This record gives sequence, structure tokens and C-alpha cells, in this order.
Amino acid sequence: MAYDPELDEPLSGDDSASREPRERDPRDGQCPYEVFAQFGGSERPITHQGSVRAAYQDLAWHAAKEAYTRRENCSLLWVIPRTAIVSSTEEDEVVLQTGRRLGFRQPAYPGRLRRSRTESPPDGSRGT
Amino acid sequence: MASASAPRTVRFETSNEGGRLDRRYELWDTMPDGYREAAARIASFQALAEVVGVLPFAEWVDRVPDFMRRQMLVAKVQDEVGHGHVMARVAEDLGVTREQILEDYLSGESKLLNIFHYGFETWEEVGPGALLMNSAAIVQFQSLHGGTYLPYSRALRKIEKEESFHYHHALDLTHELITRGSPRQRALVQQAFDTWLPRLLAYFGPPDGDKVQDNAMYQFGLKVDSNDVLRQRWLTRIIPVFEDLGVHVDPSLVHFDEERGEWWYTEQDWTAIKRLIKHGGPRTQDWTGHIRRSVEDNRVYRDAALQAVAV
Repeated sequence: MAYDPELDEPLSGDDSASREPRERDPRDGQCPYEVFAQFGGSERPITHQGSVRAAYQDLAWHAAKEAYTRRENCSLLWVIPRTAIVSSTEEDEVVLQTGRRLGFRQPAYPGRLRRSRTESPPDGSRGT
Repeated sequence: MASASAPRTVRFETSNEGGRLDRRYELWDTMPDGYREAAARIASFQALAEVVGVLPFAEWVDRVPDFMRRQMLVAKVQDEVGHGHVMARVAEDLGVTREQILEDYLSGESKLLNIFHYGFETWEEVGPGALLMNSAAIVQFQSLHGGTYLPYSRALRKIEKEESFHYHHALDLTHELITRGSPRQRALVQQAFDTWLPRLLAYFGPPDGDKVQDNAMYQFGLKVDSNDVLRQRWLTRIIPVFEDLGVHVDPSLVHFDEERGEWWYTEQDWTAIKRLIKHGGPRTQDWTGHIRRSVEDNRVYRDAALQAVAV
């Protein structure tokens, strides 16, 4: 972006960044940002790395880049305000334990009532 | 060795007596009384240690005799400050702010371990000094990693990966000085080892007394292994490294006691060490001064940023 001190204003290019204050997102700066990053290629899941604190979401992204992606090749980097996260609590533990609660979703169901798979049909037609 | 094997197990292995390591906690879990404060203390202590611990290295950035080594040193300094940030987040989530951590340090309220009161006198000291410090830190973090506060464990996992880079850089630097250095440089490396080894022996804390079980941090599972266990593990790993490099390890300073199955090391003067921790050492003023100036010089930017958020 060229700048002529004589004219005291930029000659060309988008000058909104230098003139107007950036419109503040109400979520900025009110909470830490959780950092998610994907390392080692797009087949890998994006995983939680930790958190950063910053005044604005853009600064949070750069802080996350500095703190969490300095050593490995990162293919994707997210920062998410902690207040945006909808989380389970200790009370939800029961409803989240599907394996124990919903037996009919497990392969071994219905347990002792299941017949043996080695059992043949009564007319001996198995294996034809 | 049969009679020595029983004490050896107690000395080196992690003990989970009373199941103190069984229950793990996230930030939002209900914690026992005093647990939150203890976790905050351990995290804030480490955040401070990362930031102050970088200063002896940062001081050498302008004086490194070799461009490649300067790049590596700058990378290490950046990493350590990053570790400070990561740890400060853990502490902050538990209610201790960054400002509090620095203010407590500057006021003398919080005390750092002995090694944070020294610096490096010569370039030749940086390699072996860093090698001793890094290996000790790695042993300690690998232990603390198994602790009960999960955000702290996760932060340590990230920190450990980068510490191993620093270890290899320090090893390479020390090796280079020994194999390519002048006789004077080799002598300085030896001298650095002799100077820093006692300091790192003290780094792990006083010998375990009978009261190791009563320690609150230990009971909470935040401190995973006792001082002696960590020290023994560290010596097992680091003394052979220096011997392989060709550094002379004075047996009257440290040696492996075959009969007892553990490392013997010369008794540290704990009175002097406690005095050092309380009243400071050769470089304490320089490090606190550096932090104080940094806090003051950056106050205007910090205030502006915070004000912008508050509006």
C-alpha cells in the first residue's frame, strides 16, 4: 500500500485497515480461546492443543500459531472462544455412557438368550 | 546384588500408595479442598521458571560466536517463552493471573529454585550447563506428566517435546567444544560440568525425609515422584552421557554405589542453598531487574490493550 506523506493519505489500495477502527466483535477478549490444530496432513483429525488469551480473535490465531505450531507442519489451525463451546458436565456422565446403558446397541445382545451359531436347522439342511 | 534389589525398587519406581494418583481432574471437575490452590501453585511456579530460566540464555544471543548456534539459541529462547505462555494459561484458568505471577516474583513473595540465581560466565559453559539443566527438567517433567491435574499434564506433554530438541542442541554443542575446541575450551567445559553438577543435584530438592508422604503436593498426586527418586533417575541418564563425551566425572562428587544399587553424591549444603533461594545469588538482581524493566516498559501497551477490550 503506497503512502505519500505530502498528501497525508494512502494513494491506493484498501485503506479501511488504516482509517476506520476495526468493528469489534463482542466475543473478542472476553474469554480464552481454545486452540485446535491439524498436524501431519489432512487425513489426520484436528486436535485440541491448549488455549491462548488475546484481546482479539486475530491476535488469538497468531498467538496460537506461535505457541502451538512452531515445530511441526500444521495444515489447519482453529481458535474458538471458550464461551462458544457447549460442553457436557458431570451430570451428563450417565447419558453419555451409551455402552453400558443401551445393551441393544452392542453386538453381543441379547446375551444369554442368543442361540449358538454352531446350531444347525432341524432338517439338517445346513451346508447345502 | 540380591540384597540391593529391594531398595532399588523403592528408589526408582513411582509409588501409588493410597491410590493418590488414581483420580484425575479437569478444570471443571469438583476438586478436594486445597487441590485447586496447589495445582495453581505448581503451574504458576513453572510459568515463572520458564520465563526467568530463559534469561541466562537470552543474554548470550548477542554473543554467540557462530551464526548457526545463534539461530539454535534464539529458537530455544522462543520455545521457553512459549512454554511460559502455555503454563501461564493453566495457572490463569485456576485463578492466578500473569500479572500476579510476575508481581509475586518481583516482590520476593515467590521463590525460585537455586539454578535460577546463576548465569553463564563463558560460552563454553552454556553447552554443558544447558545439558545438565535440560536433562534434569526432562526427567522432572516426565514424572509430573503422570500427575492428577490433566490440563497441567497436557501442557507438559507439549513442553517435553520441545525440551528434547534443546537437549540435543546442548549435547551437540558440548560435543563440538570437546572434539573441535582448544585445550582451554575443553578445560572450560570440564569446569562448567564441575560447577553445575552440584547445582543440579540440589535442583531436585533436599533428600527425602520420613515426611515425604505428608507433603500436600505429593498427596494430591501433583508431585508424582519424590526428590530422591527423580535425582536417581536423572543421574542414571546423564552421568553416562558426560562420561561418553569424555568429561571427567569426579567419583568424590558422584559415583554409582554397586552395593546399594544407587547413585552416591556428595552432600549438598542445604543451609547455604536455602539462604541462596531466600536472599539471592550472583545473578538474581540481574534477572529480577530484567523482568521488572520489561514489566514497566510494556505497561503502556498492556494497559492500552486491556482498555481496548474493556470498552
